[in-house]
Amino acid sequence: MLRIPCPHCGERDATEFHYGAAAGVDYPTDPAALTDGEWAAYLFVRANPRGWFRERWFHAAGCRLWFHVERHTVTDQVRTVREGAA
Amino acid sequence: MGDVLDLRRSPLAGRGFGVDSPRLRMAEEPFRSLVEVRSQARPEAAGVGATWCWQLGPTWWLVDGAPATEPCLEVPLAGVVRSGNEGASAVDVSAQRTTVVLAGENAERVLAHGCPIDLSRVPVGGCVQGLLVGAQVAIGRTGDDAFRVYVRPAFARHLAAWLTDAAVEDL
Repeated sequence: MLRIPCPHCGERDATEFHYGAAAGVDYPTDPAALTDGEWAAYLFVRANPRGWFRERWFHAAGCRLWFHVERHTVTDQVRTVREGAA
Repeated sequence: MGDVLDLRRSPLAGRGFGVDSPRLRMAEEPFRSLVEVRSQARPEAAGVGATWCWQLGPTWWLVDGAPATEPCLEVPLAGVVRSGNEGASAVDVSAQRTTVVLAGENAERVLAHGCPIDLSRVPVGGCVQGLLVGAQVAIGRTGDDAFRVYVRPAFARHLAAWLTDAAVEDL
């Protein structure tokens, strides 16, 4: 079982969380100005690193807040955690 | 009004749920007055007649008071938490959860059978939210061996059935 360290509730089982995919993907400032290719890239194209990956998690069964986690995609180690939805 | 209250049914009414043994007591406390408060600071719940105030999140509180025939904590609490505090709110959620109380020296042991959270680290007056046998619950500690479990009505019968079964060794 993957254990996720919630910044408010402490370390809990991953079944209490929703996974929010990659962090730091900003909504385009002017979506109407994008080409189809750029829009598709915003929607679907993500880094898929073998190594450290910053991602979002939502503590659905606990404090119900979003936060960021830096997780190693091979070992599932968690390096840093920070509050915040963005 | 009396007729309306007679028609009110708690989620565990008629289920035969309840244990009263020397080392474990379990029972439903139906129709508690519950109010969710969003506020930076802990609301002054005792001042409006509430019994408990649990912290569910950084700015999220659950206030628990005696049963009443109509929402009685929401308005006074809203007045308290909103004074000088923009964005704070209080909403009556009495129908959103029912309360199961566990007490006795084996209460923590029974909950630990199905709860991955280490309840021994929860202080008296502290509260944790999480999954208890798959049901989302808030568990508040009211004493060294006394807990209040707040559970959604749809999950209450599942939880009661599981508690009854889990408690067999701990009576």
